[in-house]
Amino acid sequence: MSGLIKQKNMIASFHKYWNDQLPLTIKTIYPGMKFDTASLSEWLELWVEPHSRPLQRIVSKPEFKVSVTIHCFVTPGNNRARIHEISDAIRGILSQKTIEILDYDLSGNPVTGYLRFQEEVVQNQTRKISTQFHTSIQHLVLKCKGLAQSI
Amino acid sequence: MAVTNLVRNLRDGELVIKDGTSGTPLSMTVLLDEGDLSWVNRSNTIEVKDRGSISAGHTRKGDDESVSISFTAKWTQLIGKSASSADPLQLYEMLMFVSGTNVSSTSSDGEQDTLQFEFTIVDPAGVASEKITFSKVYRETLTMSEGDDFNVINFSGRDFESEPVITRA
Repeated sequence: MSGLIKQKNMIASFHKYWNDQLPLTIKTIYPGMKFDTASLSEWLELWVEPHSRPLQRIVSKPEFKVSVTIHCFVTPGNNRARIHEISDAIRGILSQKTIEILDYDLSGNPVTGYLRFQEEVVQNQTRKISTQFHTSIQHLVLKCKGLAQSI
Repeated sequence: MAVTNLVRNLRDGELVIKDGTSGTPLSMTVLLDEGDLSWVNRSNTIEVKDRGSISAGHTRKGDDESVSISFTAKWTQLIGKSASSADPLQLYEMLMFVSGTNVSSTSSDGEQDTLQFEFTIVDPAGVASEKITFSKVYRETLTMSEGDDFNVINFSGRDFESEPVITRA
């Protein structure tokens, strides 16, 4: 299975892209990271899941399907449109974008593949109990599927 | 034991396309085929009935029939070598005998352009891999289609033989 993209390299490449391209100064909490959000007025929680490999010939170039999930949180007191500004910024760097997958185990970090995203799905998970709506944390979830291919 | 009864599936297949260049033919391994290669060996029979009756009738061998063959591959670049000689030959170019690629037919001059398809089924146990050779494949249709995850190229044609040659690989 030569040419198989290592998941750690795919995730590291995506995290680097995320850090470099997100046009907002907002805390991103990655899987496994402990962070007290009490002091934050807004933050993001990010997951990258390489979840399946399509049926392929053994001699084919390996590829696998990827799913990225981002939870966006904005606390009460902020501009109520802020959550949508964040959502739009994320959509701008994810939707239909293609990013390079680098091999961090080799010197020079050569490109070993590409991760291509499809269109995103946005869900509003904010609790909409009428009496509490204006005091509840706003919560949007963005999901974007993609396909990682080796070259 | 020279055979194994492990079932083969699409993961075990490999399709190589070669042209008719003498000496060292141009060769391309189709890396992104969908694993749906299919071929059909046909047999024609003449039924001679006796006043409509089968029981009193007989059969005779009919004309030879060529082999129909098809496969689908994911679409990457359509052209390479024909655009720049330094670029690798692409599947579309080879199947279409695009000018500038130097792909030559496996049939004689004046005949329809044909290619040789070699389909190898690797024995998962490593004992008895097999190669199926279609020596004179000509194109009937080449269909390019868009898709959500990927676009595809579908080849459909005929091998001008009554059956492919199957050998131990």
